[in-house]
Amino acid sequence: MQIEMLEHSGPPGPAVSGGPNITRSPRQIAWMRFRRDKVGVVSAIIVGLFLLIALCAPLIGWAYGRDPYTTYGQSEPGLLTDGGIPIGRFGGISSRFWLGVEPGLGRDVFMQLIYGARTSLFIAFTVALITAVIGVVFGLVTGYLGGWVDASGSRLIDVVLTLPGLLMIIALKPVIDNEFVSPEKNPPTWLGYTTVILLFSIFGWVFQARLIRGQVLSLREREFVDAARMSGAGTWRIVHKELLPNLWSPILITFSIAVPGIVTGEAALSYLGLGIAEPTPDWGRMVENGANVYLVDPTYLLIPGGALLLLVLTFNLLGDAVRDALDPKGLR
Amino acid sequence: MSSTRRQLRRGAVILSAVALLAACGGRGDPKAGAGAPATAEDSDTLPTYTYAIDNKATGPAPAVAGAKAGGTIHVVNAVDYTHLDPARIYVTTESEVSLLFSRQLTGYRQQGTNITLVGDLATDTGKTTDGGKTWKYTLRDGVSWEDGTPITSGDVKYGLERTFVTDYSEGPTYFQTWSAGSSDFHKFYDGPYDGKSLSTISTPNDKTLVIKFPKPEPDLPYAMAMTVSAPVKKAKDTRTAYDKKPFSSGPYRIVDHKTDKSMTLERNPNWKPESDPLRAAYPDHWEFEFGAVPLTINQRLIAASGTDASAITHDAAMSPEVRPQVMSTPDLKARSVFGFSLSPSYYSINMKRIPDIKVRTALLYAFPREQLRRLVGGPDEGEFASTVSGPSLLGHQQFDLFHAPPAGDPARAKQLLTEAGKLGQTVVYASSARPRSGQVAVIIDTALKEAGFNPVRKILADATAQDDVSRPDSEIDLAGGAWFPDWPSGSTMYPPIFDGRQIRKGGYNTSFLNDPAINAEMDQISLIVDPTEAGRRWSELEKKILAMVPIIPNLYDRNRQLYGPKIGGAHYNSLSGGIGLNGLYLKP
Repeated sequence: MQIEMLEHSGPPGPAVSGGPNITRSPRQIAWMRFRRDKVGVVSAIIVGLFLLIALCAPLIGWAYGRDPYTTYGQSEPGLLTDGGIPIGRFGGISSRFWLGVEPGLGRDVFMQLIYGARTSLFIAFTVALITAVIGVVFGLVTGYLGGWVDASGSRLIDVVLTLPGLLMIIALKPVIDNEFVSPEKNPPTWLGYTTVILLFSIFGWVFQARLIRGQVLSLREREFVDAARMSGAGTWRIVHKELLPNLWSPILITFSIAVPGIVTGEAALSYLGLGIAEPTPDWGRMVENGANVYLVDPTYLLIPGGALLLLVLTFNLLGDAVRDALDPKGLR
Repeated sequence: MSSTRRQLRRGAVILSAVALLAACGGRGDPKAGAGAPATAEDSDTLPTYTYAIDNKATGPAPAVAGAKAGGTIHVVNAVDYTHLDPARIYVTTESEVSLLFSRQLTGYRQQGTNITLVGDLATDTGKTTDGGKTWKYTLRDGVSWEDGTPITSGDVKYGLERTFVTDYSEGPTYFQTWSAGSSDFHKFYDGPYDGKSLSTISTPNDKTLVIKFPKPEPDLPYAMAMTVSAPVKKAKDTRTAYDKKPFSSGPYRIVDHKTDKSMTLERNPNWKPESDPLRAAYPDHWEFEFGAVPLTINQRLIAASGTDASAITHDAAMSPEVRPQVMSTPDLKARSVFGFSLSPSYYSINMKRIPDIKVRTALLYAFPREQLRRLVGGPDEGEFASTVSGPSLLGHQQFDLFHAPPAGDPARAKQLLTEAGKLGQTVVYASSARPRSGQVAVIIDTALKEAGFNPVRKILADATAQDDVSRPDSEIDLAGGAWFPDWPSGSTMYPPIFDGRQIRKGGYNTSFLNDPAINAEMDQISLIVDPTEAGRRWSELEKKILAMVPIIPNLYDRNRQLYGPKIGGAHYNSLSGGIGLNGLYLKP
């Protein structure tokens, strides 16, 4: 089993070398371990920065004086050539346009990037949260109750696992979009978000559910659960007070691994033209557009590509660090 | 399907255009915009094609200066030719490759901007004594099949009869409709397979073919320049398999054709150059390769290693990714053919849904053509148009009724819209799910909103887009399109897109213009035998039609294609919109 950190486990592991007389809660121990992991701390800071930028995007835009929607290059001469290529070096980077001008449309790349971070992170966190909740509830119920509930629940998980997630999303997205939009109106922006979040959640919860179920299966046979059961605790109390506290580490770890996965998944979807529609800024779409012009304007491909790489990399490293901190036996 | 595939169906709206410029197109060369010297070939002025009819042309074909016979030309294509059966061909690349192994009654001889219609199998383009009702063709001496037997008028008749077969419905239907006197020609005759013979054609002897129509059809010489008039030998008719490997009447015979993989042509020893006024046929072999990605094809032609040095591509347009490299390297730029499409692309306005001419005019003034062109590649993509017909059409006149600035005039548009009392008018425009379409939508939305419209983007699936924009109850107000006439006469240009009786699902009248006076005038002009007089009348009619604002003229598209350094005689074929196969030779 990958995760063995139990609240009722024995003496702290060797990594803890605090004062001899100090007793620490497992949470404190994990925090200490995490703080010593330099890569983890740096990753956490970068991820934090991304979150901050995404949250404050409108504020930054207000201070910066531009928005992600205006096609500056189309209305102001001197920004784009007749062929739509930014004038000036590195994709038209200047003191006015910090990361240059978008080829073709002439929007501000910096604004596109930070508003794009908002799109990516909002979707990723929402989906990770939804899948975590569904997964935990499903895993707890099937794992703890066992019997026919577990049998049918496991079959359901198997069935969903056999469906190729991204392929299904690619197939279903246009169908859903067409079903809900009247021909006389533009599809509302929230609908785009809803379908993407919904589809990723439908195919994403099973991983959480399977992991939690496994954990619960082994936990429910442990002595402290038996003890609680014998002392007359009800099902709700056992789940709530005995099992759930021991599940926080797997939940946290899968959450931190799920987020970068969804970020790349959503970017892939946008790359294929099925993600969040224009004019909402989106990294996957920026990469797709950048790939068309990389020979003339490589900067425009490198900026969203680099941002995507950095976010996914730091998030994965952060996930590793969290796991290492919570699970000393799983150290590399 | 890749969007950089060049596959135009003459006489058909290209769907990429329906998707509102969503197709290929890339970035122009930044240097070209900064005033780099343009070669004469790259000049901004549209070429004026002159069409002529030469009834005295004889074989052999005019020699290309410096050309040498022999060797193998390689053709690297993205996709296989869907049809090679002359009864089923309607796509320009297919009809062009077909000329290598199928002869026709008539054909075009192209020398620069001079395009001459001449007799191919026939000694002339057709003789008529009664204003176009009866036509007589005489076959040339020395024309023979790949097995050495002579081509007879019976073979031509059999080929024409096959175009009536219900299963071969992909080809043009002019000849069938004229023969039957109605577009429901399957009732009149349904092909030679159950032993019936077509009553409108008689063959007094092996060299003579007489065609009798119920009405005068003055355009027959042009209609016979399509592949439908190719002879088919009854004994060699393999029916549906004929589509893969037709029996050769031309300078080459098909040795082998592996669907979607390869095709090999070798010289047909029984073809005599002196019997053929059209085909130069310099190389001994043609090796076709199918299934490469367009970008890869372009990169291979740029690298030009091994057999790629003697290679061309017949269906891959120049990819936007390699354009900057090609345009900034003189050697590469010299290795490309370049030209304009036959007629401009346009945006059609649904007149049923927007009946107020003021609103349509406002839309025309609001439309951001320059911004859209900048998005897809700038001036290298094409020149702004103000008409629906191109300079290659007989009688074409250049005029501009509205003088709308290419970047749009939102103030004027808003004023017109206010006068009409339609401020906030909803405009549903056709779009596709491709990423480029999203960017197009941003530009259209910005421009139309500024002019006081309420733009709505409607995403259509590529496969059904044509049906969606053409069905009579269409919910689309604005859709891109382009129409290339089947021959340079107004009768194949205007009626398909402006005749109210042609409104049907899958049709091409996407502006839903249905004006009885205009319909009647089209009928009248169609009967005029004198091409100059007809051309003048068509052009007058075009002015009348465009004054009603059924369309917003957009761009004369520029096309460019690369070829290998060992290829000689490369030229732009304005009829197919790409490299011409005839006259190519291998440099030593």
